[in-house]
Amino acid sequence: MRWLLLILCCIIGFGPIFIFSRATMTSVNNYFTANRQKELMRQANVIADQVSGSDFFTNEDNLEYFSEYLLDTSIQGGYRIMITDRTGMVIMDSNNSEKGKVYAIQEVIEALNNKSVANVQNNGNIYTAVPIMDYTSSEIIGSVLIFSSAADITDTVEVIRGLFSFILLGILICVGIAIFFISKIFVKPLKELQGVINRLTDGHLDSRVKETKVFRNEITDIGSAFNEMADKLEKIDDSRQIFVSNVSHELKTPLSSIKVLADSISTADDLPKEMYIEFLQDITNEVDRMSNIITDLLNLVRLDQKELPLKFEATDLNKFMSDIVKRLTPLANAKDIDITYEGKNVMAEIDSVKLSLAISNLVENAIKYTDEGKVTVTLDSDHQNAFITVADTGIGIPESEQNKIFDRFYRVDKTRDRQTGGTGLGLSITHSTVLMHNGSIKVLSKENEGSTFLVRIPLKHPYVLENDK
Amino acid sequence: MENGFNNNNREDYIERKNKAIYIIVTAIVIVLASFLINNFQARKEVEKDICNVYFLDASEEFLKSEERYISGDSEEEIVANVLEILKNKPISEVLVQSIPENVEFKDYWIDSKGTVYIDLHFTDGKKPKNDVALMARAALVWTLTDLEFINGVCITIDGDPIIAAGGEYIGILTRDDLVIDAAEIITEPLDEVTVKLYFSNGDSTGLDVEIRRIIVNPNQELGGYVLTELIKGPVDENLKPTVPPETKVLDLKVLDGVCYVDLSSDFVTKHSGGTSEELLTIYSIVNSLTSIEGIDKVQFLIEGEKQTTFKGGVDFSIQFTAKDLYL
Repeated sequence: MRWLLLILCCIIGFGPIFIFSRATMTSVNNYFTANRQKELMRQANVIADQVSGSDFFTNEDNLEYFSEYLLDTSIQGGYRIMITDRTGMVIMDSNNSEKGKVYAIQEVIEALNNKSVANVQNNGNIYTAVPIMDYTSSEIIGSVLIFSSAADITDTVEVIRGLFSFILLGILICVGIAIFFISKIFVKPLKELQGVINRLTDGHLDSRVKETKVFRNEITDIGSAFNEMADKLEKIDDSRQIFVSNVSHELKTPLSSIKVLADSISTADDLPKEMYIEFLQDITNEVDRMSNIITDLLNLVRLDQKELPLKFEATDLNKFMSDIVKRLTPLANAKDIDITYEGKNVMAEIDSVKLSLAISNLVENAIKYTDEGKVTVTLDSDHQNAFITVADTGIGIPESEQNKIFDRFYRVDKTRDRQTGGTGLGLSITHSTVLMHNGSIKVLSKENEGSTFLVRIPLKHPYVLENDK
Repeated sequence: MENGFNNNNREDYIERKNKAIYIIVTAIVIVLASFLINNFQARKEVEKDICNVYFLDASEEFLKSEERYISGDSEEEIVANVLEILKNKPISEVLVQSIPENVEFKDYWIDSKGTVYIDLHFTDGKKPKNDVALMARAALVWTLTDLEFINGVCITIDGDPIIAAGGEYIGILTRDDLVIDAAEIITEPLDEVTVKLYFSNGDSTGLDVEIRRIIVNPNQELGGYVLTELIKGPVDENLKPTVPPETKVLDLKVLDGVCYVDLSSDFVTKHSGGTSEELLTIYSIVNSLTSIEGIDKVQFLIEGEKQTTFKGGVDFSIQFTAKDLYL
């Protein structure tokens, strides 16, 4: 890429430099030319004045003296001087060759028309033509012409142009070299990043880019973004490892129970029939338990991977909620817990199967973690969202644990859960489901006072709208 | 039997084919020839019938010509036709009439030497301005001299010749006398000077002087012009040239009275050689150059470098001063 940069620099630089140098050269040329024109015109006017003053259209002596003067001026200035009378006839010529000829050229015509001009001819020669005015009669009695070659100007301009080009070329080369080396500064951090990425890809998830506090720019921003991404990657990997170890632990526990029970049965002699039935019942329970865990796990993973597409349908939330509460009332009654429901008529687009599971989890937990007291379930809404709350007067959740409860297999009190027979995945599933509905879930809790779970579900799901279209 | 029959036919056929070819070729030649002759004649006629008539450019500050067909059986008629064209508008829209409205061609005649005399008259009695008059005169001269039988124009006004500011008459004007294009003007100052040129005498025993008047640019080194004249050779038949004609002067500089002359290698290679010839060559140059004011010595260089010897006889690296040669 450094070569590309260099070539680009040359191309971008060359164009403007070329235009600039041409423009400058033209200006220089014009400056010199204009100067020469002024000089010629000045000289011509001086001569015209002198001719006006002395009357040598008729006086031979004056003519003689003046032609000496004309020759000297012409040699000094390196140009050609001619004087014509009013009929266009050349009466004086510094080169002495055109005397007596009639010059009916544009320059003479201009002067006889009382125009003082200085200009450049087509062949590059610079000329001036000024009228000679007779002061007494105010008539134009002749013209003064001066012709000069522009060769010396051209030569000078060429020399300057050569020097100019040389310098500019030198500058271009220096800039090119400088850019070549400077581009290293830009490419280096990118190469470093590439190295770190390669190390990460190889498996070293702890690879990070060096953060510089100095001179933050887009490239260092990429470095920071990369580091963040690597952090997340590492975290995900860690959580994967934790998850796997969690799962194996969860499954191991019922398996060891089963083993214990089975061993007991096989090694014991003469056990009464009731004992066999009890042990086998226990084994069945453990198997059921493992099965539930695996099912929940599968659901959770599928939810996460969005393998199960959610089917959003317009649902009467009031009926939906009251059904859940009705279903779980026996459970509450078994523990002598008072469960109430308060709601209003709300229609929302939800996947009723999955959301039912999610809300049921919340209510079940509320019942599970309350020893005595009550569970209150409410349904409210505004024009955009439905608000579901599940409040209990149970043991509460310590503040330090409140942000971890939605993690998989997380249990505040491990011993308790074994008793109540959960999988430890309930809140994870609820959390995922609510998020899939574009909603949110929050918990307010105080230890030994109770917990309240607040769930917000948007009434309209954007995907449904698109499908409708 | 069949063969013989075919052969006969074949011979006949070839003969007829050849004949046809001859006829066709001849026909083509005749057509081409007549076409060429026709064209040639036509062009000649066309040339005769076209005249470059000079009008004014739209700015009215310089002349531009336009090709016009002219008619007339005699020279007078042709001139009359041309004058008539001049009095009217040009065909091209970017050109303007060059003869003022109040000018009338009263009379004209052509003499045996190819000069046409034209007498003008101003219908309103007013003379045109100087610049208008100048352009009109130029247009007349250049238009009429475009005709092959005219080489000069003499203009009079009501019988009187035109008087220049100095009092002299402006008489016959040819194209040489009347310039309408400034492109040929030499811009460098030129002056006529006299130079002394030293050439070899008839028996090659010494040098003789030839005086010449040449046109030079006073701002350039006179030595360069002198060398050029030496290379050209003598005009006098009794003198002999001393410098090979292929010699080129590469550079000539005068510093502190010393003239540094840089000559091309032809100066050495094309020289015939021989000690006396060498001396004659060297001193013809040295004496000619030192006769110029400001030059006392001459230093020779060949292709920019000092040489130890010229053709083997003379030490060429020294600075030469003028010397009378007796060989």
